[in-house]
Amino acid sequence: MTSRFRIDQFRLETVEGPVTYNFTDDLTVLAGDTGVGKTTLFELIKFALGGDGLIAPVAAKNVSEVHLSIQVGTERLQLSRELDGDRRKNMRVTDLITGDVRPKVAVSSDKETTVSGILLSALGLSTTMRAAARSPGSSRKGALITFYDLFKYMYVPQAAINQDIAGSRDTYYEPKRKSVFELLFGLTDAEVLDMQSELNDLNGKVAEANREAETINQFLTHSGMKLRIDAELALAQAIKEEKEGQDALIHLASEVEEVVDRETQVLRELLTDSERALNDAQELVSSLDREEAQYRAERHQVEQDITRLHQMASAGQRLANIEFVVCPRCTQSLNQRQVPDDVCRVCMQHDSVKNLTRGQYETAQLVDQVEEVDLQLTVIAKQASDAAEAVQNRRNLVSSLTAQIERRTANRVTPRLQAYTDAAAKAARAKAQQEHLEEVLQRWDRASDLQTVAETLESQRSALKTAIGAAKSALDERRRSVLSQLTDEFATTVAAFRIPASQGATIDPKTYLPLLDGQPFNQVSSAGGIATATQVAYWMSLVAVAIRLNDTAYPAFLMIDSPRLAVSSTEDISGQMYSRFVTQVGVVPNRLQFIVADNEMPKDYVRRFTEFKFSYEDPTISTVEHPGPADVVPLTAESDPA
Amino acid sequence: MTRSFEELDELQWELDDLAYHQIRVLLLVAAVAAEPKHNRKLDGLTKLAKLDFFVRYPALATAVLDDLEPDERMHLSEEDLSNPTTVQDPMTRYKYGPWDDRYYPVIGALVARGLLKYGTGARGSVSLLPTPLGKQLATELAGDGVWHEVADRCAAIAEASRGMTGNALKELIYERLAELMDRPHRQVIS
Repeated sequence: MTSRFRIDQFRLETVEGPVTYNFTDDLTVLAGDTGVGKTTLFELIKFALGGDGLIAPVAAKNVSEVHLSIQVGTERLQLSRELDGDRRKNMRVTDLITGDVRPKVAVSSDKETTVSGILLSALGLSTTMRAAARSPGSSRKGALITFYDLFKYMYVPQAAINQDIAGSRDTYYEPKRKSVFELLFGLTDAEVLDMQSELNDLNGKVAEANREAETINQFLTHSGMKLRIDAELALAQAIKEEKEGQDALIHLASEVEEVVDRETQVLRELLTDSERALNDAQELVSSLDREEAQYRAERHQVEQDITRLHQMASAGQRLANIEFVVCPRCTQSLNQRQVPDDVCRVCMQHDSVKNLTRGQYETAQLVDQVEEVDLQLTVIAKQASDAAEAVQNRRNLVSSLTAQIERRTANRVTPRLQAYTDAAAKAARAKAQQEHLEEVLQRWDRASDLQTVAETLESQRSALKTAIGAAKSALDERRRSVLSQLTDEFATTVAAFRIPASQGATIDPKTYLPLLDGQPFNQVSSAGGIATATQVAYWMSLVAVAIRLNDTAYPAFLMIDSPRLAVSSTEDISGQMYSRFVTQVGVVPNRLQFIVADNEMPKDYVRRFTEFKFSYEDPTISTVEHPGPADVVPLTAESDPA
Repeated sequence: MTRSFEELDELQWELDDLAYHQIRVLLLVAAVAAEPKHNRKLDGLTKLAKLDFFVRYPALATAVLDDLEPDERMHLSEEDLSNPTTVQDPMTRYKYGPWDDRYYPVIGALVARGLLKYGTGARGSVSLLPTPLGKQLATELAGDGVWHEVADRCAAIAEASRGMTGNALKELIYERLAELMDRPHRQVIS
């Protein structure tokens, strides 16, 4: 069997040219003091696989692109990724067997084709697996399992080595960590994971159906209808009542109409006629008034003319005897001279106007005219009086008819109006009641539908539970065997590492995490780097059992960052660790790959395996000059050796 | 020179008409001169024409002279009030308000008969005042049934226009009777 996962080459494009590392041996050690760039290199490898590696400032500044040549399943691929800005969102994947370059591949997990998908497929794993929570009430399908979840079992970063195992400190991550463990050791498969997701989804749907059913039941309880038949009967009654109301309305309308038609209508017609006659009479009065005013004005004018005539005559007479005493031209006195009779005193001509008397013809004419006008006024006065009487009579008739009509309609219509209002209210009430009851019946229908849905869902859920149970029991034997082997291997390794565990070292069958004396590894005293040693023992055990079983999906690849950091003073543990590495790779040559960052490789193994030696003068990214140990900024706080 | 009957009749009408106007003007001048606040004379022809306007349009006089209403001496009938411009002797609208061309012969005749005399008016204008004969005649006319209403009106108007100049009266007419005065010159006010 070939390797499931192996790094062949890692190349960095830098400003000063490429830097290449070939990983030809099963064990490769990156040796050198703290700060020479080992972690930087490991994080760049993670980045090259499409992960979110921590990019050191020196790399961000000097490295433009990384290329990782890997064997994964039966494929050989080169993954290329640029570090620059937006370009890092996509990767170039080259098939090293065919030389084909695949179309741009997205890093982001929400795209159709992703690097994770390509790697999972190459490892023979489904790309649609979800890690559903196992708690009975859980209603979520769970998050999608990606290659980077697997990678937590392949890379032990420096920051995590004495802290957690594959993200075990994060409780939210628990379902995924356990699912991936089971997947890697064949304790579950895509089908079981799918069923578990489906079960959770059904849990959610059942809960939703129950919630809705509860709401509807509350509504139905408040409606006072305990049974559907009650609502149906009430609806029938409401329909009947509405019809009764409508019938009563029609009956009353016809009765009122009858009253109006037969008796009042005659009065109304009389009233209309009387009102018209009243209007005519009033118009006649107005026209007579206008006529009278015109005659009076005419008479006034004639009277004025008569007065004027009288005044003219009077003035003429008054002044006739008052002679001109001065000349209007020269103002000299006219009294001083003798003037013959019949001669004008001023012009001395024959006084033709003297003794002129005018007859009373004009005045007589005008007086006749006044008499005539008076006669007309008398006639008009008589007509006006008659018209005023007619107006009064018609006004009385109108008022009498109006009163009669009002009396009739008040007596006949008002009682019916009350009945009409009652009937209309009854019909409206019944109609509103019907609408309410129809809603109640719709809720009964909905409740019934929901019950059917809930029953179907329950049945599906039950079937699924059975199926999951069956699938799990089929795997029970393997599960017992795998966990037993893991525990044995772990106990042996812990013993070999001389890690103190008086009551035994085991793998927890529920959490799959290591226990020392029944305690989680990171809660045991970490004096002498026990936590780190325990974790290394755990990883070694996992790899050893996976190799031995030979039928797991475990990638048989482990990249450990500085395992001796905390255990450097304990040479025995360090020696045992390397002994294990060597033993493992010796058992199955070319099927297992360890890449270890360490201060140095033990001398015994230097000639048999690859050791890249680094120093401040010769750092991991050799094209970039190292600023010296004083200027090293650790990638994480945990990586600080101090 | 012999005249036909028609010619003589026409002449008589003309003379009586002039006589009619002379009597009214005499009554007006006498009434104004009897009023101490008019300085016992009628000062200027403008003032004469405006006060005569009030005598001839008695229903309009009440709209202009605030002190006139109500004054029984105006002898206003319902018809006077409803048709205030329908009067016995309409006047003509001139540039400086209502006017009558007959004022010159009327005044000339009254002075020539020794009923009025000219006096000195304000700012060099002419003023009119009755002679003792004129006063006597005016008094007689006031007691004459044909003239007593006219004499009453003249007295009321003389009293209501106390202290007002001809120009002030003109301004007041234009202000209060703007619509009536907003007509072409030389048009009869009716």
